[in-house]
Amino acid sequence: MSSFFSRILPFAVFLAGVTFSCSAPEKKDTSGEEWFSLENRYAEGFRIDTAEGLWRTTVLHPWQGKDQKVFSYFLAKGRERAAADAPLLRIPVQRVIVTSTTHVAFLKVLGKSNTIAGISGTDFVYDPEVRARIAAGKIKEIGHDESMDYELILHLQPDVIFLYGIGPSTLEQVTRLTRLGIPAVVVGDYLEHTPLGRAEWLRFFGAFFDEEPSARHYLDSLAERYEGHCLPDTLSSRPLILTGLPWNETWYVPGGRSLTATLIHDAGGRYVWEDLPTADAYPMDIEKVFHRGGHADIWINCGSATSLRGILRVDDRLALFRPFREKRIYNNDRRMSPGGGNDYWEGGVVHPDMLLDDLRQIFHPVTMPAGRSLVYYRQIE
Amino acid sequence: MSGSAMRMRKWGKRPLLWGSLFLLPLLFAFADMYAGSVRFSFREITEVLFGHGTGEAAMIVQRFRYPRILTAFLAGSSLAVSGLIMQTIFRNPLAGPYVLGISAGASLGVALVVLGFHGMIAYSSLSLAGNLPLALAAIAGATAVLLLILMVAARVRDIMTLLILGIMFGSAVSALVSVLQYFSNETMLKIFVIWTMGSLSHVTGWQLGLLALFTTAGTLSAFGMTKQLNALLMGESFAGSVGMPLRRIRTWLFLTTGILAGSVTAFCGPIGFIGIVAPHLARMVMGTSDIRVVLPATVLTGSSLLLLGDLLAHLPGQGVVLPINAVTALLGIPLIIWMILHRHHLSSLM
Repeated sequence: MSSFFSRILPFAVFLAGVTFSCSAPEKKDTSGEEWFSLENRYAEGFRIDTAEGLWRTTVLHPWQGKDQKVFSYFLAKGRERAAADAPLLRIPVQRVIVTSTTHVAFLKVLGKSNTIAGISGTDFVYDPEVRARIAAGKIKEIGHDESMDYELILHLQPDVIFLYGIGPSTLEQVTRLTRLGIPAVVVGDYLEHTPLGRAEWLRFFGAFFDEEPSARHYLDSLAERYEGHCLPDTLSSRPLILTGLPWNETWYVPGGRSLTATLIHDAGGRYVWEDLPTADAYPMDIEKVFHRGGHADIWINCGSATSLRGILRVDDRLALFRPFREKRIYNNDRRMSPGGGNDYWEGGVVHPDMLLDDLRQIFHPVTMPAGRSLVYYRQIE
Repeated sequence: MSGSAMRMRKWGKRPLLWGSLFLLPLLFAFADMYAGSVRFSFREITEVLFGHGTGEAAMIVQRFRYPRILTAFLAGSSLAVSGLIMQTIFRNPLAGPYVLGISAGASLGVALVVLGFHGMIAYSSLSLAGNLPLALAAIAGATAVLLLILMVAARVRDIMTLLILGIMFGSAVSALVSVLQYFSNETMLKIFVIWTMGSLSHVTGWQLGLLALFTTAGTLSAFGMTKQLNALLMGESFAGSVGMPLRRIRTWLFLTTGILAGSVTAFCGPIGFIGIVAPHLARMVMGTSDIRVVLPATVLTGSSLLLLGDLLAHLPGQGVVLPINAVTALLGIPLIIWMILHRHHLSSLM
């Protein structure tokens, strides 16, 4: 046993040093640079620090669960030297691989969609421009998770690959890609609890393209719009909102601290599970959901069910729910690509103000301009 | 002594045992009526039971708990009966309803729909139709494996060879499922994994009607074969020597098992261990391996066990329901171990 550890330990320490140096919030680095933090406005999952011609992006929460790691990346414009022994990425990056449609949305806002050389899950992309590039063979499908095509990734020669962290298993992908000489950046945008926090990951992506200032500018105007449209916390008449769809007897409900819960609250709704003290999806018994949400006013985000009949096919007892009887069900699937890509999970990430407006229009139509049509939502019939 | 007199003696000897065996599923079903994430008082439940309940309690008990309890009863007894048939045919104490590869075949059907075609058809159009495509795929997969087994059974004389072939088919099919799993994405994998965990709560309406139809037909067919099953207990050569058409009996029993285990797997997913444990429990309680006694007892032990499993699955409360397949394994394995330690070895029960 001890010989096992004595063999593994130096290797593990080496990896830890090279690929994900733990970053304490110290000001001084070993190399003597003075680091300044670029404060986040909303996001909690990353930080960006800067020193003379250098940037350091740090991902604090790369995935769900308790077993967390901290990943740091050093970015340099031009020929600045490396800080410490950590790998250095030359920015702006010119060729990237992304593994989530949210990454596609961030790059779109930055005007960098044309740098995408590979995507994991090309079928699920909504953006017509990117889809055209996929169809033309300019963007390749690199496979996903375990079946990622590492040979193709090597062949594409990206400057960086943005991975989305599913759990400690992502570490294996990072190690493998690093060994191949491809910088792998783990992104945890989907773990943010607020829509603006998720949108702020635009700054994280911006840093890699030397566009952090313009990303910050976008975020500022977005935040102004979003916060301007939020209904006040003191609002007294809040409709009760049910979300999701069961699978077998289990209904995965977003927790009361999830992004969905935040959006519902900001749009003037009362979420059925607002007291559930978690951000993660929670498997709830359908009977319990009926008890708490059977008398809800409105039902949103009913997933794969695209019609009232479709909902009944999932479970005929869903007809007992009040929003079903009153036909007040709205799904977030108005903007779908032929392959099944949903813009709610793509463009919606960088346009939370529009998500908010849609929900406000559904919950409190009188507070919105007459004649506005829903962007991401549609009423189920 | 005439046959009917002997039957009378066998039944009449254990009135207390039979009484408690009949009471057990009723007791568990009644307890299961309380089990659920929403708490109701004894009075509320009793009112609903006698048809006086109104409001939420009536709605939840009638629309959510009754179907679940009925499903547990049907699935538990069917798996147990098919397990008894398989243990009798193969004269193997560890045989169960899935030994022919029926559940593996059903998984392959479901895996092909959930994991295999996700690139070819849009995800939304798949899940649009709810559980039905999965049930159909499971039936198709189970039937395919069953037909294969029947074809081989028509050629192979030795029953042990058939057992080994069944296990081999099962393994081969599982290997195909692994390949599909390897190449599938996270969402689809989750749907598949949840299916493999089994569920009793989503079988309602006409699906429950179909399940009741198939399981009743299968169980009646098994009751019609008690004489043949008893002869098989003495060994195939004995059954052959008393002039029974062995292959035809075998085919019919395989079909019965296929209908019982296949329909349960199609609607509830694979549910393990009930089919292995319940027949042993029935033999142990009744102290005989006479199929005329053990078969009805198995119906009762099987349904009791699955009702108990469902009860345990709902124990955590707070809206959490444990996957039924995990609960039956946790319930079944200690029971098997206890029976082995109690009786030294299981085959002494047969």
